[in-house]
Order: sequence, then structure tokens, then C-alpha cells
Amino acid sequence: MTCEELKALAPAWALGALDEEERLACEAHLATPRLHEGCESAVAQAEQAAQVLAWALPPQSPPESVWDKIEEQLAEQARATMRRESVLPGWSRFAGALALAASVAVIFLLLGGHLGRQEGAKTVAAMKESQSRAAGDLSLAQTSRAHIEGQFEACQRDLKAASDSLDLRQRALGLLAEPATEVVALAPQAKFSSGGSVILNRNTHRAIVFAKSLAKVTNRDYEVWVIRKGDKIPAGILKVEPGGSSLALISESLLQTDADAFAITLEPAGGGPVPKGPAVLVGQLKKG
Amino acid sequence: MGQLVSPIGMSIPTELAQLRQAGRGEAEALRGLYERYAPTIFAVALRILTNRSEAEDIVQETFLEVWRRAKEYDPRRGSPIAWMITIGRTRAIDRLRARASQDRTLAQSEVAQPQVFLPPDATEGREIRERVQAAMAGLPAEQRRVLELAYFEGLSQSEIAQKTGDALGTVKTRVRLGMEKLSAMLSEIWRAGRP
Repeated sequence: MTCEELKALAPAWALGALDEEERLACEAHLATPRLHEGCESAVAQAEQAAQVLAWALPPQSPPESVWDKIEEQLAEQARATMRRESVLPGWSRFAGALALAASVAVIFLLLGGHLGRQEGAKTVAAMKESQSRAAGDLSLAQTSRAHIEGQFEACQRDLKAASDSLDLRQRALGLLAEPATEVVALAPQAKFSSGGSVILNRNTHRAIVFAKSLAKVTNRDYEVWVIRKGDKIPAGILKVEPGGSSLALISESLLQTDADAFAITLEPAGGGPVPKGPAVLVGQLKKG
Repeated sequence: MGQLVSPIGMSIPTELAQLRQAGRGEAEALRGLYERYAPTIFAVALRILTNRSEAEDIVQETFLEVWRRAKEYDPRRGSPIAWMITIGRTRAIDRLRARASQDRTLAQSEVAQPQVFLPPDATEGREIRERVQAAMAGLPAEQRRVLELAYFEGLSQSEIAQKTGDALGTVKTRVRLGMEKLSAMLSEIWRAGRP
């Protein structure tokens, strides 16, 4: 199956309307580690379009008991996580146990004989609960860090595959390697199947836009926007390289104050001071 | 370009922020997403399963899956609500297939008089929804029919052809044309942004 064939089947894929054989062929194609020509974006775009069928339905409120059950499940999962965290492997398990034992010992030393047996037991239980919560928080933080690292690696791979000018690509890779740099994913909008990221360092007010799989256009340009408190500030025109990728610097002067989002729109040739064309890619920033 | 608003009201940045907070284990963020989007997911599940109790199960399973998988969400694959609806719909279709032989007529009456619900601050979402409904009504009936058979009944194009008696090629053409129109409709809604 070629990328073109996959893209032709994307609408039926998004509806879940492909026959088994076609579906498996699509899955195999998407799983192939190769340079796809907008396959994932085409599927994502078709999936977005299919959601219109859901939005057209009159919404209906589920009974409150549904949320109650969800809350119960969350509580049960949290308890299970705490139980798992209390069985940490290797030295960390030993260290955790040692820390807990030390904490408990210190508490008992401090409390001495002033507390009765019951109050002491309550304190130990509170200490254990606190320690479990801390272990849970640490686990979440580690998972979150892994997610961010994954985004960085994906961005690095995309940059290496792009054919843009070596100088700007090197600057992008350099910016990516700086501490406090973040990657803002740009999501394809409506019928567009592009992808991209903004590599941003809020501390140094530097940002580079990277877009890929941009369709070739005539008499129109892709324009970058910095969005802040609803204002759309023009931030330059993207020069699209053969292959559809593009890198562009965003002026530091536009980044002195935190932006809320970045967007790329398709505008008449040369761009303009206000966006008039459709949004191609949009990415929002996390609050600092 | 319009404001960055999802078609059912919440701003995309807010959706994303809440999903990420949920991914970090903040139950309050999940509750926020639930309050806003459970009615849409419930409506989809009810439309597919035509059974209120099963649809409630789907909502519950969907939000628990969102909670577990929020960290995996990739913004490049679409908006958070689209992702959540896909989870809910997939689960509902799976359940529908699992009980394909069961009689579904009993619950049909539950769908006939839906309890319409919108959060009080979702006026913009409602206006966009009405626009979507009007545009959907504008689709040729045969195109809308094949899209609904696929999306809400989980039928493949071959199964639709079998059910409707149309040629497979005709069904494929209707799917393609219908989806192109939905895509254009979505693009138009995005372009218009907030009404």
C-alpha cells in the first residue's frame, strides 16, 4: 500500500467502515517505519471530520451516579498505585523503607512518652499516608518527564529528516538542547494534513517554528501568528522547502511577553496584518 | 481566523490544559472534562447502543480510559474532544458487536425523547452545534445514511452495501463525498470561530 492509497482510504478508516482486509493493510502501512507523506495527518483529519456526526447529536446528561462510579474507580486505582509504590525494586525500596523507618523513629523520639499509644498510631498512619502520596507524586512526575522527553525526541527526528537550510536546522537543534526549552506541538486543523512544532525558550525569548508536510500552494503563503490574549500578531511568512518542510525564526521582540498560542494560516501571497485565511496548524502554550 | 474554540464550546487551550492536568493525576481536571463532554459522549453511546444503562457504562469506561491514557494524548492527532469521542465510540461499537444478536428494540423508546442538556455556559457551543446540525441536514440523504450506518452502527462499507442493496462502489463514493463535505463543514466552522 502506498501513502496515496492510505490517504484515499482515510475517510472510511475514520468511520470504521473499512473491511477487515483493508483495515489491516492500513494498520500495517501506518506501522511501517518510513517517511510517510502525510498519512497520520490524513487519518487524524478524517477522524476530526467524522466527529461532526457526534456533535450533531443533542447532548444528554448522564446521571450523577456515573461520575460517582468513576470517582470510586479513581480512588481504588490510587490505592493500588500506593500499594505498588510500597514495593519498590532494589535499593530504592530499601531506601524508601529506611526513610520511612527513620521518619517514624524520629517522630517517636520527638514525641517521646508524651503521646499515648493511640495518638502515636495515628501519627504513624499519617506519616505512612504522606510518604505514599509523595511516592505517587514522584511517579507522576517521572511519567510526565518521560512524556516531555518523548516530544523532544520526536521533534529532533523530524528536524533531522527535514531538508531546510543547514544553518537554521542547526540553530533549531541547538535551541532544542538548551535548558528550559519546550516544544509546542502544532496540531493540523480541519482539512489540512500538516504537522509541526514551535521550539520555544521563554527565558531567552527565542522560538523557531518547524512545519512539515505543508502542501504546495500558488499565489498564497503560509503565515505564522503569535496569539496573545486574543490578539493575532503576524510573525512572518514560512518559506516551504521541497518536500513540504519549513523552518522560521520568530522575532524575539514578539516573545518578550508570554504568548498563549501559535498558529499558521494560509493567506494571500505576502501575508497580511490580520489573518483572513484558514488555520492550518495551531498549538497552545502551557501556562508558565 | 476565528478564536481557538472547539465545536462544542470549550477553548482548545482549556481542553488541552485540563487533559494534561488529568494526565498528571488531577481528578478535578478530569471532572471538568467530564462535566463538559460527558453529555456528548453519552449521546453518542446512547445513539449506538440504544440502551441507557450500557451507555452509562461506556461513559464511565471512557473517562477512566482518558484518565489512564491522558499522558499518551498527542495534539497532532486532533483535538482532545475528538480523541475522547473516538475512545467512547470505539468502546460502544465494540459492545454493540459483542451483543449483536440481542434485541435492541426495547430501548428504542429511550432515544425517542432525549433529555437535552447543555451546561449553562455553553451558549457558544450550542450555537455552533445548531450550525452543525443544519449543515448535516443539508447533506444528501443517501450520503448521510451511509455515514450514520458506518459511524453509529459500526458497519463496514461492504455491510452497508449488503444492508442497503446498493453497489459497493456506490457506497464507497457516498462515504468519500459525505466525508469531504463534513471536512469542508468543519473547516467552515473553524474559519467562522465563535459566532
